[in-house]
Amino acid sequence: MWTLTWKGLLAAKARFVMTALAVIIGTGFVAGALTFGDTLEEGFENLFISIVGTADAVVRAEDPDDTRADDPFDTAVPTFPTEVVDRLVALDEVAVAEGEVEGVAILIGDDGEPTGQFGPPTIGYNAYINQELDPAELRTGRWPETADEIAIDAGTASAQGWGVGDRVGLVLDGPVERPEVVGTFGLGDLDNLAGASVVVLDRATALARLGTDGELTAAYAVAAAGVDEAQLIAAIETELGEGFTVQTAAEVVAEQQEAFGPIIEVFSIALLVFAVIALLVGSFLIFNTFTIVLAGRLRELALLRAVGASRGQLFGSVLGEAALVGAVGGALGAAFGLLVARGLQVILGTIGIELPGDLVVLPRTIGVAIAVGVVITVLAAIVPARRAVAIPPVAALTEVAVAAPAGRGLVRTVLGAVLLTGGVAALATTLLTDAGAVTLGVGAVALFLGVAALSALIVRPLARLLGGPSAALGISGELARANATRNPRRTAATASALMIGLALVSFVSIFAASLQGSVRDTIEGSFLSDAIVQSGTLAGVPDPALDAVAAVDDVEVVAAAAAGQVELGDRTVTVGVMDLDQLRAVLDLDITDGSLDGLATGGIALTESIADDLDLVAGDEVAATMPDGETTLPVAAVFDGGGIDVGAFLDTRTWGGPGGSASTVFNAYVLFDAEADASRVFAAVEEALVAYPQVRVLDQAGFADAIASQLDQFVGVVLALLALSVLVALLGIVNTLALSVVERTREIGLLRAVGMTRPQVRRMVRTEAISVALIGAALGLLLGVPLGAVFVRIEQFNITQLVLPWAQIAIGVVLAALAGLLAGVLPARRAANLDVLEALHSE
Amino acid sequence: MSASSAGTDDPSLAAETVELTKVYGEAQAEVRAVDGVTLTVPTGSYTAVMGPSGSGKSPLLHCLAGLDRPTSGTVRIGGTDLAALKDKQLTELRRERVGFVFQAFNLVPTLTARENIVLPLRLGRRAPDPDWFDAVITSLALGDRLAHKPAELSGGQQQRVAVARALVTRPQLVFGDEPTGNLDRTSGQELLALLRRSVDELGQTIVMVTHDPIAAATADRVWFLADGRVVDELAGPTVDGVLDRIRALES
Ligand SMILES: Nc1ncnc2c1ncn2[C@@H]1O[C@H](COP(=O)(O)OP(=O)(O)O)[C@@H](O)[C@H]1O
Ligand SMILES: [Mg+2]
Repeated sequence: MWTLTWKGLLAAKARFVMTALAVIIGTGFVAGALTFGDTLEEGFENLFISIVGTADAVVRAEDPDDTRADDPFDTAVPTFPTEVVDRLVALDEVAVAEGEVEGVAILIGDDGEPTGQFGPPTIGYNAYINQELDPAELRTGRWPETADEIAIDAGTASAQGWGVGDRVGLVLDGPVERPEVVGTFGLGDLDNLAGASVVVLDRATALARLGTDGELTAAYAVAAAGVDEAQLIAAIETELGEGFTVQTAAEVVAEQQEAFGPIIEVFSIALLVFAVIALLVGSFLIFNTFTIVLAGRLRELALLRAVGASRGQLFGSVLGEAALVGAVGGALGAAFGLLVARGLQVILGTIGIELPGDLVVLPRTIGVAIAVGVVITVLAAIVPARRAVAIPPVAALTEVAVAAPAGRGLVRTVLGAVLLTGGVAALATTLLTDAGAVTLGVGAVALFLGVAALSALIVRPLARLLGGPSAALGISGELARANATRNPRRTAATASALMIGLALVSFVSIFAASLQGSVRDTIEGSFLSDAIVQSGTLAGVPDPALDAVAAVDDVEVVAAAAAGQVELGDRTVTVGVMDLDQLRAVLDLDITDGSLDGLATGGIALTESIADDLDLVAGDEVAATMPDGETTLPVAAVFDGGGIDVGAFLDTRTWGGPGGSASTVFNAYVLFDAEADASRVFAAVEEALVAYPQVRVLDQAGFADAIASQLDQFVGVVLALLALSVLVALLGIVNTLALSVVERTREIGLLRAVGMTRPQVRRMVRTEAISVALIGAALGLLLGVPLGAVFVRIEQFNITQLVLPWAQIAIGVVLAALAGLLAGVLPARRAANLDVLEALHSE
Repeated sequence: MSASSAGTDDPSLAAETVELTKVYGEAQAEVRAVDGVTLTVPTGSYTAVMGPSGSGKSPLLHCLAGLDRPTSGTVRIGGTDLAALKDKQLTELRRERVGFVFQAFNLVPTLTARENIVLPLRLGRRAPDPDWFDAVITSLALGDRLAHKPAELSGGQQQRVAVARALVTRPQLVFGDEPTGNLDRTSGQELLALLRRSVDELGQTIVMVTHDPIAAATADRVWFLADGRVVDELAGPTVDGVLDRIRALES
């Protein structure tokens, strides 16, 4: 039977190229996701190892709120006095020790914008006394020695075109200054730390100006000869006592890796989601190819049955074919995965997120790609194979055209109807109750499967609907429509692949447009401020910048909004921390319960969705974990959170206890004197902030645009990835049409004989391709639009309005039609170039 | 036949060939399927083409109908030299001036009988002439079958639809390549009667390849082919006359 398998494959190799392509794209994403994850993991591991460098022990002050190490807003690092290093050096077990102070240092590019805006960390640290302990290695120049000198990482230097001798913009704790670059450095092979910009300051400047009040953030110790790690750690712990964490280099690396794990996971999961979509779309293609190829070989199969091959043997041989195609596709997919991973690195690189490491390809990745390829292909081939081998042996002897016994249409229809009904019910439940995203998700899957199962029934009416325009093309258009509905199941399966892509595209578009719409709504409705000062980096808006704005004439209020995280019950909530009076002045919150007054006395204001989730009303108390420990907060007010980007508000005094602890200020809302000329004051504020290029000032519309454009970027990336699933669907159309043309060779010969010109043949095939694409698009919209519309109603997303971006959706449909047109080109050319006589006399 | 006639615009001539040759393959494997055939097809004539298998009947017909291009020699249909035509013009010629009935698989399965019949007209974006269409339909007794798809028609009915399609454009010439070859005796005879009527009543010109002496006897004359040449011709054929000639040629 294996010879049969091989022969079958070779005979139809061209047809299987398309199947293999589908497998390649699907498994490519899987392999890409794995490779990307592995690369990141190893890259970061190497990075952390090289950062720890040659030290055997790392000393840090204990973080009093260690339980909240994952708070992204908690950037303050505990510090300790420089004398600690002297105490380490004094130990017999220590050969050398070095103190380090690390903080935020923002390099300003020659364009006046911070390097690596919004993205990677901006790190500054001190030049080492024991330079052999510094993990960084000089590439050019020397280490800084005065306050007017810095060294920068070679990656940033080359990205900005800077070298030794240049004066560059730098922001530490005040306005921009322009120190001289006296050296560039790298970390081992790396020019750059994961895209972070790193600045080395001379020791005194670092201690004075990195926000640590002259203290250190870490100390590194190397063991004396003959002292092992355990002895070293024990000695240091005894010497320093309480309040310090002493770790081995390996522990520090492990800890850092753990902290980065979730980030890597997010990327990998996102990629895997697209891999699953691509595989799902691809499986339709594979299913179709096998159905058509087997339909063309029915007589051969019947003959084999007649000469004694058992059903099981034929089934095995067909599945063997599938397994081989799957394995080859999977292996090539692994190779394609490298391109995906590399491409992702490049894309992230161009938007400023440079990641370390050469591609890491584990044997596991290749194994998984091949296994997934085999499993998907075999699964997709089972139904066509079962149908094909059910052919009675006598069919080999009959003269009439042989058709595979039809599948269980009724079972399929009933199942489809049940799924569809279930899906619609889930949608309705989501809409009418607060069932949430999970119900909708289950409903969506049921809808997809239901529509896919019933699509063969929908194809005819849809084709009739879409047939109007094609009839304008005359007989070619009519024939195209007839051909598209000739084998509804085949057309449906081909169209379903595109359906998935288009459903997701319309879904994402609706979600994004609605979110943007509500954000604009809120900004227009609730934001009373005339200008918003925003931090361009994770370092936040520095106090002097706030002071500078406050000093501008006709500026009435500068309301600083810090962000922090609080755990309420089992939920982690982002809180906005503001002065109550200022909050009232700049934000017009829609209070639905209680009053903001309670914030002044230590209360918290919650959005409706969070309050509902935690079953809280104004007047209740809620257990909260704050930066300074556990406490109980009275719920002062509940407000409609639509469009507000935090889940709760606290007064500055409540945050971190009486007096309020300093948190990073990301936004400051500025209110002008109502009498003043707003554009003049706005210009004056801009002028006041010229010295702070790390912050930007936006008016209301600009602020809305900034948020919207961030969302646009995200949507752009998602749509680009979805475009790949459309590409797979396009391959499906090419495949189905090419096979149909082969099947209809004789008919095309006849049409040519009775006077159909080549252009008419081409038009006929291309129109069929477009029809299939449009059927897919229509099915996709039928699914995606309701799903999107219901999704944005889910309360926890705080989306206040439903925006149907018809233009965008229309573009999607036009693109689908264009994809169809493109998919039709090759099969159309093939059909048109058939030799009339040969075609007429083909079997 | 009058091989001497060379007039290109003679309206009494539906088609003619001069030294028509069709060669397949090259060098050793060369097959001269049609070998220097010169003949004329008068307008309104009904010609049967006979000959053993492999004698070149189909290649001759294909060249005459503009389905294939000769290796050398000339083919004219209604005075038009086919060699001068590009693929598009040749296609238009097939559509408008030639009708064709094949042995089998004559119809597009997705179209109804009526749609199949008017297919050449639709391809040329022309409307059928209702009187002519009715005449053809009536003469072929297809009136009640027009809305059916080919799969719902018997073999004889399918061939009649094919004849109707061949006639609907009022072509200068209708070609048939064993049009009765796949039919049972009764259906075959019905079809032959129809072809005869279309010559007598509708004034059509027909050239038909056949293996069947009875079919050949319904024509006005018979060409006998052997090894790509017209080796004999019989006017006013009878079944016995045809059989005699075949026997004579075989010996
Ligand atoms: N497309 C072709 N390619 C190669 N040889 C051909 C082709 N068509 C016909 N022939 C050759 O031409 C000869 C006559 O053609 P054939 O169709 O068999 O004649 P007939 O219709 O009289 O049976 C045969 O020897 C056949 O092999
Ligand atoms: Mg023949």
